[in-house]
Amino acid sequence: MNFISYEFPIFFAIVFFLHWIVRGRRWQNLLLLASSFVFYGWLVPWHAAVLFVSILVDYFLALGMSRLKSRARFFLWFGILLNLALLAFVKYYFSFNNSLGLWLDASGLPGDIFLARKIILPLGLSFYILKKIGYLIDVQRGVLQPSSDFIAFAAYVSFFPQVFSGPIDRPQRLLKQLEEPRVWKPANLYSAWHLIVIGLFKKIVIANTVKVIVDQIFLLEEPSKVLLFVGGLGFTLQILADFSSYTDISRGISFLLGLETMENFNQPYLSVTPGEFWNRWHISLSSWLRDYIFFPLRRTLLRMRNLPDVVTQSLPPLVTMFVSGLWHGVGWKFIVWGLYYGVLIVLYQLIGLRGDWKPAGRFKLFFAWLTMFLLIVFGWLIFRAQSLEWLWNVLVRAPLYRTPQELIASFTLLVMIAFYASLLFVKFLIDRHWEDRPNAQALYYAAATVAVIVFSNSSSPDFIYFQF
Amino acid sequence: MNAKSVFARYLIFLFGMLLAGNVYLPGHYNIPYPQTLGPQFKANVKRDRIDAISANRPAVVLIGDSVLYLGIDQQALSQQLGVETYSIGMPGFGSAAWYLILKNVVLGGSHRPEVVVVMFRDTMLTIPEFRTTGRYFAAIDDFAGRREPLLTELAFVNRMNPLEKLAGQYFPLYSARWELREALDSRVRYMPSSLLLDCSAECTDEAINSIFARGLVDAVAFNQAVEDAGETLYALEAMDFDGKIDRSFLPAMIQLAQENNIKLVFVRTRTLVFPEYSSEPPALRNYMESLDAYISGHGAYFIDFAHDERIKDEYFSDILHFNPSGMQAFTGMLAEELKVLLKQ
Repeated sequence: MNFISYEFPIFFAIVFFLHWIVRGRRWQNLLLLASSFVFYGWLVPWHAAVLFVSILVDYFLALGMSRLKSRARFFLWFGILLNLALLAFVKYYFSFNNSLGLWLDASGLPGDIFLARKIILPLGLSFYILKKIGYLIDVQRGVLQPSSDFIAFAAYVSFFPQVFSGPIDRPQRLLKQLEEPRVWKPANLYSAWHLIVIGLFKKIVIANTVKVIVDQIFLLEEPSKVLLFVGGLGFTLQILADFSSYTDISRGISFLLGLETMENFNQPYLSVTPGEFWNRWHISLSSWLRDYIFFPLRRTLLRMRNLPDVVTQSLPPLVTMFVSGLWHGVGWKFIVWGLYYGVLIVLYQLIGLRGDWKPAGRFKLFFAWLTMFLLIVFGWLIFRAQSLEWLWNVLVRAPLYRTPQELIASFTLLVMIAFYASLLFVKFLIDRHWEDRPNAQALYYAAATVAVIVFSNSSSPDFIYFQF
Repeated sequence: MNAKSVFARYLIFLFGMLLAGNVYLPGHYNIPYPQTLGPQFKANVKRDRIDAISANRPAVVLIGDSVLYLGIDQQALSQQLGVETYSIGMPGFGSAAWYLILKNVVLGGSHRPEVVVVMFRDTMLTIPEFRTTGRYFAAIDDFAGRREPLLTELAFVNRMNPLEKLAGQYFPLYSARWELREALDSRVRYMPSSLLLDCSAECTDEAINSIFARGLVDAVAFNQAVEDAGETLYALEAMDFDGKIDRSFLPAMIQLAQENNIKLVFVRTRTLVFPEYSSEPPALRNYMESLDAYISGHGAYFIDFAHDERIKDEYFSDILHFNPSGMQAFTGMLAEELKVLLKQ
């Protein structure tokens, strides 16, 4: 089930009313837990079983850590390895299966059985695995008391608005709220409605429409450079609209259930450095990587006295972004995409431009922004390309453009992308300049709702970040 | 800013917009109220194909999608059969378009061919809604008359959930959404190039089509896209023949052919989605057995090339389509089968 499916409003209406009818947080949490498993296992029930077992194991490991302090490190590493093994199995299942099948085929053995088998693997695993690993590390570090309330812990991990695509909320925020009583107040509605409207608008009107253009361009055998650039701009818009829409709807739904979850995007395309971009893009993932990979690695390197500064400065961002690349997908292009950002962060640091750097003067600011924006677009080209070979081929061999017709088509597609981008830009301007004018805000949201009705279809493509 | 006040104003604006839309749109787009469910079709069927059939008087008409378009050499087929043939294979067609072509194009003129061949793959014949909306709708509309109750029911109304049905009938903003999107899309698509590049709508369409022609699409990426789209064709529900047959165009197509003394031949083509019989899902095998029994039991013909060993892997340019040498080989194989039928 997903947020824009027909079943979801019915499902949520039932959950919403029951949630506020039942009294006491224990019943509310039990309801949230049950509804999360229904939501998660809607299409493939055994996915919910995998989720349940993995929650159960980590719950007892965390309790074990607090009771047997001498073995806490063992429990932690056992838990981390178990989670990573599950993640790796799911992420690499298809490529391993195909390789095994091809190898058997080449050896004259029946490899077809491996090539032919296709099962639907659990979605959103990368998100809840990170939630659980973060929880285990915090308990082992002693910054978090393990929850003795299994229902609350399980509801935190499997929380249905977040289970497929995050945000990867920390236990200190979400689990804490789940362990406290919740009562309905109108502020829940006032915080929620506009997030749901803008989320649906971004997904149904912008992302799904731009997707059609982007998919066509990236299917081409060898698009010209101009067309590739248009496709890159399109995907830059599509992925922001798609992914941030999920977060918006997720946060809106959470508010309606009396829970405040974290923001995941803070106008990332306004960044002027790669460090700033990662502070604004997929914030819950970048802060997770920062707290559990970047800082521990840097601390470790700093303790090694003989290491040159360039190593202690460069290695943490490179390793962190390498892990980020691995997390995003299987294949070299994701690793290269992660390392690309690692190298960018290192290069910016080497010339003295850290994440919080802001150039003085409008011209410098504009130039810094434009440079970073183009670097982001290039990053998305690596991410969206059919393969690295395909991208390399287009960048090296393809002409700037082939025919005047191609320029006309590229211009037309660019205008269409710009039009859908402008719908978000208008929102940005209203937020920045007319935040205190309720009419402008209300008018925008009303128009967005009408657009959602006009653009709605019986079926809609899934959210991009489901696949991670 | 007061959150309550923004919410209240939002509701007022939204109510105003919905009211205005509901009053204005039915008149503007000539939509009856309550609206009959399903899309509005143009009044007339496009005549070029009907006229071509009347003029050429083919003994064999072939209907299909890009697999037919890239898989059969019509001239070679005519030569090998010694009769006139006519092929209507267009990329993106599904069973809804094939039903309309049979009903309104093949049977729309005075000439009746002896044989009509429908080339399909896997479960396409019993998924009536496959490729009927979005950019495929224009092709459907070309072959549809103003009133197409079976098409509307099977391809459009059956797939709607109760909420959509309600909105489609009583909520003009929703029922006019295709027209509104078309209006917006054509403005965004054509106006800038018309104003700035002096390029008309036709010129813009031609430019876009020149880039996205099938031949320029990367085979690997295309295969992946086909596989992704193929989830519709290989869903368990889609492979439940007994559950799908009564809600498909197949019975109507067979009935139309019988009423007009036409031999209707369903040809299942080979693809590389499941190249070996053993790699096919068991549900698909069962489906094919049921389909074969149904077609043969109702006086039509079923020819299955799906696992024909004469069709080699090197005949394919991607997992669905033949390359030129594959086209020649497959044309010959189909001709052999059709010769037998034409003699009967």
